[in-house]
Amino acid sequence: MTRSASVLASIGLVFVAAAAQAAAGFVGRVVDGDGRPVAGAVVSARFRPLARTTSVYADAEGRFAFPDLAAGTYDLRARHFGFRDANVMGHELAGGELQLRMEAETDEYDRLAALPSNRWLALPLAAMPSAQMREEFVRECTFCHQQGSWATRVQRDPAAWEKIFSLMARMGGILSRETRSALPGILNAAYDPATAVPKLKEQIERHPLPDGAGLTAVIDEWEVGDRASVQHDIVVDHATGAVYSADTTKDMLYHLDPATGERRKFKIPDAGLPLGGVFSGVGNVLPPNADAHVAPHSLQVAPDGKLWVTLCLGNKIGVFDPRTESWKLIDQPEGLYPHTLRFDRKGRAWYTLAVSNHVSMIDPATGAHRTIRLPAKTWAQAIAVRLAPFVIRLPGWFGQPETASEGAPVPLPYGIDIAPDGGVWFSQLNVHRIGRIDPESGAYELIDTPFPAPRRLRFDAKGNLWIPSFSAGLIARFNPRTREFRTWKLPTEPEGTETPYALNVERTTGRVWICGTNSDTLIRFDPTSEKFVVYPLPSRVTYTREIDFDDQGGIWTSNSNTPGWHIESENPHILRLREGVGQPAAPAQHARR
Amino acid sequence: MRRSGAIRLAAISVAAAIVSGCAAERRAPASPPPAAAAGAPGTDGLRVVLLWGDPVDLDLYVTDPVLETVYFANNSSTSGGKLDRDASCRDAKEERLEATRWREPPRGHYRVGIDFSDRCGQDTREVRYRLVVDVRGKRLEKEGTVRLARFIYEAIEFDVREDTRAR
Repeated sequence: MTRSASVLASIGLVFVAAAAQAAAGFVGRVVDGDGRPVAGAVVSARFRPLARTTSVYADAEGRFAFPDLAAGTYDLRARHFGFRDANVMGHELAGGELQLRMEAETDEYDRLAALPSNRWLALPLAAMPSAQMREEFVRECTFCHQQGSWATRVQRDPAAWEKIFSLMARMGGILSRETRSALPGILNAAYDPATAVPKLKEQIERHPLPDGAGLTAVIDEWEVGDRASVQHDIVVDHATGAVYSADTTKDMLYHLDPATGERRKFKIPDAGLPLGGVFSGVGNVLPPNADAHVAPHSLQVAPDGKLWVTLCLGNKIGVFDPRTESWKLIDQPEGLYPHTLRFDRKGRAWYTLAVSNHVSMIDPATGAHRTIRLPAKTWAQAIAVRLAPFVIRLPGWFGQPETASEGAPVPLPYGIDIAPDGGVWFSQLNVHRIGRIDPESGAYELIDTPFPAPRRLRFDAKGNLWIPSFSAGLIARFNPRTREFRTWKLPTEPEGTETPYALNVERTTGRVWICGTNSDTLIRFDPTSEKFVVYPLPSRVTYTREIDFDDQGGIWTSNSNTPGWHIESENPHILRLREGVGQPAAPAQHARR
Repeated sequence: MRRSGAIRLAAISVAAAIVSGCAAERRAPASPPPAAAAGAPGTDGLRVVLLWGDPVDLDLYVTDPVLETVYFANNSSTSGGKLDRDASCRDAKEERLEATRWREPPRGHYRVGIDFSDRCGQDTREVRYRLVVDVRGKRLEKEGTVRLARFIYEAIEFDVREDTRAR
């Protein structure tokens, strides 16, 4: 048992004092240079002592109203496509109505540079010769970060692109030779400003951005970690209302109290492992600014209130006791790369092992620890996953590859969830498959998905399995009784540019929330009306990978673009969206099947 | 049947890889150029230079105190760091040197990483390197060995104690 904890006192304590003086929030109007309303503008108020930004949408008349905020000084910003941000720094929260005046952006490149990444991603996709290459590019090249962001839409020497593809392969994003040789030319042409600007102008006229006008929601963003942080996953602790996040690249567990804004961080023991954990020395690459020895990835609250965290590079499970603020580490004797974890109704932890193609179970009550090997789809994959443990244990015994980036994609068991009947369902992202494990016998069945890249899946209360297709930009509902899939394309335009990493289903309403991972949005889907609602997020390059809900209707996610400094604020956030707070109006809706 | 076949094939592959790894001819790595090849230490700013002797591709990674890394894919940083020179296989036979500099380096901790990313067709598995760090007229040096595809995250770490921008 190791005890390791520290407190971000400067943030938390200052806010505790400020919270006692809560006051009515800002109200006002956003107008353009001629005094006309800027409908749908996102108005944000950053409270420096807390490092928290609260945002609302302006209505059709440009009017906005914040919920109650802590008394103090705020940095205000109004943002809307086609305009320069209107910033008011250091504004005291007081009565009266504000008017935020926005000037039109007259520089055409700067105007289009403000578009979400997915809009730029459409440019290289349109130039690719085959659907197969498009799918591969989206699946492999948006694995860790947005594609089309300010940092990725650049032109490079072909040799530099080749070095990037090599590095990427050592981080797990492996491209075929055909795609690898075609991409430098395609990317350099697509991201040439001379051709990109007219294409984006045409695109935005054909497919306007989702409009915030009429959306009634408040979004809070708490800054967590630093420029090297990746807040990979979050989870809500329903017993306390706290939210935890796992900082993969800093070996840190964060605790946020939404009521006070206090943040605490708990260092995860490194178990004596070097940087890179058990994968150190076998050719894999960490982000060069990372401090990851064990790399926390997915986390859940156990029935006894302890936090269970998969430690993917440490090849362990971490169990954190919030009462004693201590850690216990559980070794993974078989298999590699503990990934996504869920508890079943009997309190057993089930998790995927992404590299070695396993699913594992730990029963905290008995100490039982069982690991089930899943089938690969090809011989090459079967060999690769079986060789992986030997390569890691005995790296010096193996001949080194001709370049540093040869390898075969593994099946990649990814998302996992527990059905109402207790069945354990998982996805295999790279082989377009889902499967069910009988939790008692360990027997499994496999089902091919009629779409590629099934990622983080979830059950609804009726026993339907909802699945995001990361590379096809759609969501699917699978009925385990009838074995039928039904799919809906996401409303993100242009089609095919969204990368929904994860979704979650509100058990009480059946509504599905989806990460708009490449478009800086959260997307809500109502299965009854089959309508989507798109919430543009206030920050750019957000990259979200997980969704959870609190008991007050809040929808939670976190920013996990890698590297973190690509994020607009150069810092990840834990983020909460609350619907129905703010201007009363009917949301804009989009229907697509 | 298929499963046992896969295991047999895996076993054969393991054996072949071990034999290949053990039997491979290993050429002794060339000595890196002397520190003088990095040039005379300047009196101002920060410069990190990576030197090596074999005609292969090594890459230099310098992470600054605000946790941004300057390397071939991010050749300038918000803190003012710039990659002066990115060597690649194309010019591996000529100049084996990569360098990163800050004219006004921010105060704080720096971490230098090294990667042997490409053999450039050479029968070379290990490369000897020399790192030269010039901080406002003071020089640090380190010599070491890097293996193909074995990223060294912390080849050298150092602190810049005085914020030169404040002068």
